Order: sequence, then C-alpha cells, then structure tokens
Amino acid sequence: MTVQITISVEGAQRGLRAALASLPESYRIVSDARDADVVVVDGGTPWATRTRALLAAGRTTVLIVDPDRFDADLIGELRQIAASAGSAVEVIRGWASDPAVEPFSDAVRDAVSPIMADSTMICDASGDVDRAQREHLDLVAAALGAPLEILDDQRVEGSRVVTAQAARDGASLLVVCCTVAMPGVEAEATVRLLTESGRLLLRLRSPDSARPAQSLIGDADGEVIAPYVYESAYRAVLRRLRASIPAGT
Amino acid sequence: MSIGVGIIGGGAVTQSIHLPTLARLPELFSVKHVMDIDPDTARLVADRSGARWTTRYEDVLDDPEVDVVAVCSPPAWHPEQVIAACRAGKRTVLCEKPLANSVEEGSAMLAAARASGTRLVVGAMHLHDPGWLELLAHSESLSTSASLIRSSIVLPYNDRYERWGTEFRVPPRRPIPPTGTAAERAAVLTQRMLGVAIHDLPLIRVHLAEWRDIVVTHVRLINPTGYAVTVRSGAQILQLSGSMRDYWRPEWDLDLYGERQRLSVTFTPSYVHAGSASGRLVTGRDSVVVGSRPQNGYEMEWVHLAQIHAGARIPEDPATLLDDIEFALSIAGAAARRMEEDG
Repeated sequence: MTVQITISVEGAQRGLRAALASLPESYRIVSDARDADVVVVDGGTPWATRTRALLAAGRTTVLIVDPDRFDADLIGELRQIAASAGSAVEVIRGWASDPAVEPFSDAVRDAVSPIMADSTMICDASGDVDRAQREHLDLVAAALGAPLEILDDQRVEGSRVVTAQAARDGASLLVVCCTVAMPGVEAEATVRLLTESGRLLLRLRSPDSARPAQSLIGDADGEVIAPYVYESAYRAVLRRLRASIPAGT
Repeated sequence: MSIGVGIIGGGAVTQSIHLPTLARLPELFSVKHVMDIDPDTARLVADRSGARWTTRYEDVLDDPEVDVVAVCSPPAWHPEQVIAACRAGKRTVLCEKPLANSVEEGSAMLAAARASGTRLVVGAMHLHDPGWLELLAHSESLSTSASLIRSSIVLPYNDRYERWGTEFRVPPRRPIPPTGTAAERAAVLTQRMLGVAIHDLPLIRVHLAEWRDIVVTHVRLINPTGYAVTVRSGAQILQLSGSMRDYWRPEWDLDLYGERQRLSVTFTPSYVHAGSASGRLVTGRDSVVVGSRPQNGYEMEWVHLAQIHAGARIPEDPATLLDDIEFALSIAGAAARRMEEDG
C-alpha cells in the first residue's frame, strides 16, 4: 500500500483542494499543520513570513500556492533556508506551473536562431490587473526559461505593455508582453517565440479552465501539436512533489 | 466599355498584385500602357496584358487610351509622377503606398489633384478589404476607446507568395541594408515602418483619439527584417511589431482591446489573391464573426476605383489621405529618432 503524504491546507485553495481530491492515494488532508508532511501556504497572505515561521518550526515541506508577488530571489532564499534544515519549499503558480510550460520551455531552449518573443494575456477586469500582469510576466519567464529584464512599462486604464529582454546564449532576446483587462472574459494567454525559420506557440487558458494548454512547435517541415494534458498546474506540482518525498516520511 | 489603365513601374507589386487583379476584372479595366525604366521588364509586363510599353512615364500620361494611372514606382518618384498625372488631366490616379515621403510632398500632390479635379486613391488594400469593412461597421462603439491596439505582421518573405500570384519573373531578394551605425539602423527602421507597418496604420489612426500626440517609448530592430515599436498616444497604447523571415506560416493580426469590446482581425498575406480578412468582434458575451469574403482588398480597391472614376462613389476625403500619411511619417520619424537616441 502506498504511504500517504499528510498535507494541511491554509486558506480556501479551491484549485488545490480539487487537485488533492484527484490524488486520494498520494495525499491525506490533516487539519493541524503540526501533523502534516506538507503545509500549504496561501500565496494571498504574507507567505514569505509564514514560510519562514513554518521552516523555523521544523516543517518538512512548505508549498506556497499562487504567491501574489512571485519573487524568484526571495523563493531562492527560502529554499536555501529550507535546504539547510533538511526541508523543502515548493511553489505553485497558476499559469507558470501549467504542465505544458516545462516541455515548451525545453523546446524554447532547443530552438535555433530566436529573433523575438511576444505574449498577450487577457484577464477579467473584475480581478487585480496588476497581479494578472505579474503572473503574465512570470509565465513568460517560465516559458522562455529565463528571467525578464524590463526595458519599458506602459500602463493605461485596462492595458499594460511591457517590453523586456531575456538572456539567451550570451545575447538578449526581445520580449513584448501585452496584458489586457476586459469584463466577463475567460482569462487566456498566448506566448510566441519567433525564430528565423520557425515558430513556437503556447496558448493557455485560465488555471480554472477545463481546457488544456496548446503547444505548437513549427519548423520548415510543418508544425507539431503537443498532446493535450488535462491536468491542472496544482495537480502537476502535487504529483511531482509526491514523487520527490520518500515514502514513510 | 472598360477603363484604360496605364501603369508606371513594372516591379513585383505590379506583376504579382495589380495585373492579376486587373485580369480578374476584364469588364471594368484593360491595361493599355506599361512603363518601367528597365525596357525588358516594361516589354515583358506589357506583353502579358497586350499593352504598349515604354521606359518614359510621360508616354503613359500622353496616351489618350489611358484613363486611370497606377503609380507603382519606388516611393521617391510618387510626388513627381502623381503631380504629372494630374497635370496631364488624368481623372483618376492610384498611388501605391506610401503616398508621399513628407507631409509637404503630400500636400503638393493633393493640391495638384484638387486643381485638376483628379481623384486620388492610395493603394492601401486593407482599407478596401470587405472583411475589415464589415467588422468595422459592427465595431462603431469601439471607436477611439481601445486602450491597446496591437499590430503584428509576421510573414514569410514576399517571394513565397509572388511565385503563386503570377508566372512573371520575380526579382531576387534585395540584400538586407547595413545596420552597423545608429543612423543606418534608424534608416532601416523607417523603411520597415513605411514598407510593412504602414499597411495597417490608416486602420489604426482612426481608432486613436489623439493620433497627433504620440510618444515612442521603445523601439528595436528585429533581425533579419523586423521591428518592434511601442507608442503611447494619450490614454492609448499602440504596439507594432513585424518580421519577415523564412517560415511558411503567415500571421497578420490586428487586435483592438476596448473597455467592453475586443476586435481581432486576421489579414491574408500580401500577394495572395483569394479572400478577405476574417475576424471576430467580442462585446461582453456576444460575438460577431466575419468569415473570409470572396473578394480581397486588392480587388475591392480597383472596384472602388472604378466606381470613383464613374462618379458612382465618393472618393476618400483628401484631408484623410493627408492625415494618413502624416500619421505614418510621424510614427516612422519618431521611432527612427528614438532609435538614433538609443544609439
């Protein structure tokens, strides 16, 4: 019998709880963080402070879900603290953790002669547009496999346009990211990398959507559509996390 | 009785766009005279249409069988040839884009047209595209309220399509001009803005509330033949990017995002002789979808020209033509200056 990982969840975490419901052999939810192998921290709260406290209290693994301000440097710092204590810190980001992103990023890494990248995200205007833009830039950085250095940031009511560059083989790749807020829309994002003789395209729906990401890799011979993966970012990260934790911990 | 057409400039646009289009409209037009500075090209192009040929544009203007003059020469020649066509008494003139190289030139051309009563049409095929026009009619409420306008023109090199559009000889690709200095980069950027981006600038201009008030906030040349330009115009952002390269998939998109409406248009690549733009206008939870119409912008451009020539259609207000070229030149100029400033 598989040994279940105990997990405590702070906050409502609808998407995460749905993913846990689909992993009944891997995880068992407990109400007290002190009894949990994995403690889930709500990214909408002061997550860094909470994570530090949990690590100081000796928790084995902390899973931060949808941090409202993803900061790669801060996450790295927390991971170092965790590693020195024999613990771990994982992060789920609704867009950037989509299971289609990592293979797309691998294809980007292998792409020859990239010339520019662009991306457009449409988000629901009833939400936080600034947060949507941060998640958008986070997604693009994950898809391109490199952090973005912002060169220009234009903001008007309803729209943001960020021009950035990403380090690539000792050169810089231009990246243009448009974020648009509109009422009543299903959020979606399209990331595109143009190369001198091809195109890589990743189209993602809202992390809450049932529709899977589409990933297309094109070259002179045609275009390949990657198989659809009907798995949420939450479930993909939970599965990976489960595999990384030895049974019986 | 068909309208006699005289063509000045027998290059790729004439061979691959205008002649195949005119050949599909025999009840409206017949090509009578073709001029090119290269006699072999002039003869070849003229022979295919059963027209006379010459290496002097004045011969086209002097030809009494030429009712309409199509100026398809390099842009530097447009002012002289358009003004000469007006002074020769030609009633209708089609000038390929860009109309002029400066606002002053454009003003002089329009003044000449006004003086002679010549109707001037600018070869901007998307302005005549039936798919675009249908979507535009549905999107009146979008007007100048779009917070973001995004034009992305990512195409294969033209010769991929020219070879499908005609049996004529296609000139070899021109070498990419040098971009070693800031001045060279600025010149190349201007060329790309007035050669590629210009196709959609008239469509964009009418959706900008303060189109004379523009600030280029970022500009970059994209290798091998592209550009990326971000423009701020009052409370609106304009993002222009384009690239031509050796890849088969064309993506020619114009997207306007308003407070409640989103207009997304996909145009067919240049030189393709089938079908119009298609697109979707989304308003809240409602969508209007316009599929490809059988006639494309090139064909409708000539149909509209025939109607204007016959007095059955009011030509574009000359002030609009001048505004369009002023806008295109101001964007290209501001982008080039920004590029030079950036070094």
